[in-house]
This record gives sequence, structure tokens and C-alpha cells, in this order.
Amino acid sequence: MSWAAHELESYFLQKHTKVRVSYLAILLGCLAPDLFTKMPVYGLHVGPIDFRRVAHPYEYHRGWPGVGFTHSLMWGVVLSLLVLWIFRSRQWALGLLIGEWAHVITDFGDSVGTMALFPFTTQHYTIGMWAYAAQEGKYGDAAAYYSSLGGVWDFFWLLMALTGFRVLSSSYFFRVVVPSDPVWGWLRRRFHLRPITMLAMYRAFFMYGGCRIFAWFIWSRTVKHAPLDWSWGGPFWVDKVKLPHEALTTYLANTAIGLAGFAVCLYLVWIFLGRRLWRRGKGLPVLVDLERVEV
Amino acid sequence: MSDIDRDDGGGEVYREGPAEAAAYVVTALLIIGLGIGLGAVVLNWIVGPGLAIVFVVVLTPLCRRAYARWNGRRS
Repeated sequence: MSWAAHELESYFLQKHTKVRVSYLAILLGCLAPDLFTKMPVYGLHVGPIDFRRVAHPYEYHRGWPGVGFTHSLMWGVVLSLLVLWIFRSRQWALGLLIGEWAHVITDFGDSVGTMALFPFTTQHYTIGMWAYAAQEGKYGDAAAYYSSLGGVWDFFWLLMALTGFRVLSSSYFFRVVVPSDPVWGWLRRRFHLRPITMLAMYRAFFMYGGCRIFAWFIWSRTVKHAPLDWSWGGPFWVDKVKLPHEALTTYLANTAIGLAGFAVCLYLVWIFLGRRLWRRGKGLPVLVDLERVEV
Repeated sequence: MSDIDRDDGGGEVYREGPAEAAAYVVTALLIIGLGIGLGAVVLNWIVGPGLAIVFVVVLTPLCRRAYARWNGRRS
């Protein structure tokens, strides 16, 4: 699984989304697939609380039966439709969809990948760039991830977020982000937030995402003394989860079924439900010209 | 230096300067340091971003004051 990439990609996506979507919705979409699935994967031991982890984290986290459906494109559509139905907010529906789909695609990087086209196929899509090692626990996984190309992947997303530094500026936040999302105005009124606090809240996940890359990387080198291995599929020293070998014909057939099922379902959902919900939704997305926003 | 101004269109703009940048740099260093020492206790989706907000909000006025003092001494 990707670590800091999920926090950092929300800023990058916002830069490249030319419509006024909610930043908070993109962020929530990026975090949503792991929001309620991480605790059973790693377990939790805090004082008297002892929440044991599942026996096979990768099957639970990315498979079916399990909660692997949260890492599928269709789950993003379901969440978006729910938000559009309940809150009638187009900015939030679109933001959630973009964020959730980004999470699904970003997680292609590890050795387990995601069932992107679920429920039409349970085929996993992976490029096997780094080892899936959640079975090693939180700290074992951190050491493995930040000793492999996973850490490089996170650093790449940090650079990507920094290329769009304008989205982190105060003027962009107050001129584009706040007017695009009524939630910021509500937060400001409800909690009497000062501009400095709102800006800190907006940048919090960038700060956290960037800092955790350096903190876990240094921790892996100095505390855990984990050997660095930037080979494809590394690190060599972890017992990585690998999917059973599959014939190319099976892979292609599953993908064809999945793509066809997804396309047909998307069309039918749009015709019978999505179009109606979109029409009665509030907040028309307006084109945003990033170049015109002064830093 | 650090204030809320109005732009041409009447919109609110929060001006930032070196003091604010310093507050963010110190925040980053604190989170990295605490993260290395305390691990997942700090580096999780709730405490990590929460600490970033708290540190920035607390450190910014301190950095502004220090910057103003330093500027006063220079002039």
C-alpha cells in the first residue's frame, strides 16, 4: 500500500482539476479506502484496548471476501452517488470520485494491487513495484515500505505536490479553495476560526504527508537498521505477499469482462440515477484558471 | 508583513512572510523529530495532521514576535 502518496496526491489533483471541486472531498476520497480498513489490517494495542489483526491482512484488505471492494472504481461511484443524493453537492461528489479513483490507481504499485474492476471481476491489478508487507505489522510494514521503491514513490508524490506550489499559497486557498466549498465557511463560522488556523488546516495533510516520508525513512535507517533495497519488488528481506501466477489469457479475459461490465454499469447508473441526481445537485463546477491566481 | 488585507475585488487575502515560513519549517522539524522518536503514536492520520495544525497556530505568533524583534534590532 502507498503511505504518504495518498495525502500528497490530493494537492496535485486539485491543481490539475480544472473544475471547482471540493479539496476536502478529494482528500476524503484519497483516504476513504483505508479509513476503516487499516485497524483490522495492523491491529491496535493501546492500554486496555487490544484489537487483534486479521489472520491474512492482504486477503481482508484487498481481496474478496473482505473489504477489497473499497479499493475499486465502482466503490468511488457508489460513494459519489450517495453524497450527491444526501447532500446534493456536485463539488463533493466529484471530489470524492476523483480522490477515491486516485487511491485505487496509486495502490497498483505494491505486490498485491487492487481489484479495480470489482464487482465485475476479482482480478488484481499490480505492477509489483514494492512488497506488500502489512502482515509484518505497522512498524514492519513501515520499515519495508521506506526501504523499497515505495519510499521513492512517496517522494515522487511530494515533488509532484511541490510542482504545484501555488495550490499551497494563501491566496489560492482564500480565492479558490474556500469559495469552492461551503464547508470552509461553515467551519469558520461554527468554530470562529482565524485565517491562520484555516490555512494550517488546509496545509495539514501536506505537512503530515511530507514529514512522515522523512520521519519513517530516517527511523528505518537509524532505529530499525533496515537495509535499503531499491530493486523492483523489494525489499529482499521482507516476506512479501505475492499473488498466484496467472495465465495471460485469463488476465486478459478477466480485464475484458471487467471493463465491459464497468462501462455498461456506469452508463446505466448515469442514465437511470446519476443524471437525475446531478441535475438537482447544487454548485455548478466553474473552470478555474490557475495562472490567474496570484501567489 | 502578516495581516489580512483586501484584494482589488474585495476578497480577503491573508498575507504571509518569513515569520510564517519559519513557523512551518519549525513545525516540520518537530513532527519529523517526534515521528522518529514516537513512531506511529505521532505518525498517524489523526495525531499527525492535528499536531501540524497546533504547532503552526502556536508557533506563528512566536515567530512573528521574534522576527519583529530581529527586524527592530537591524534597523
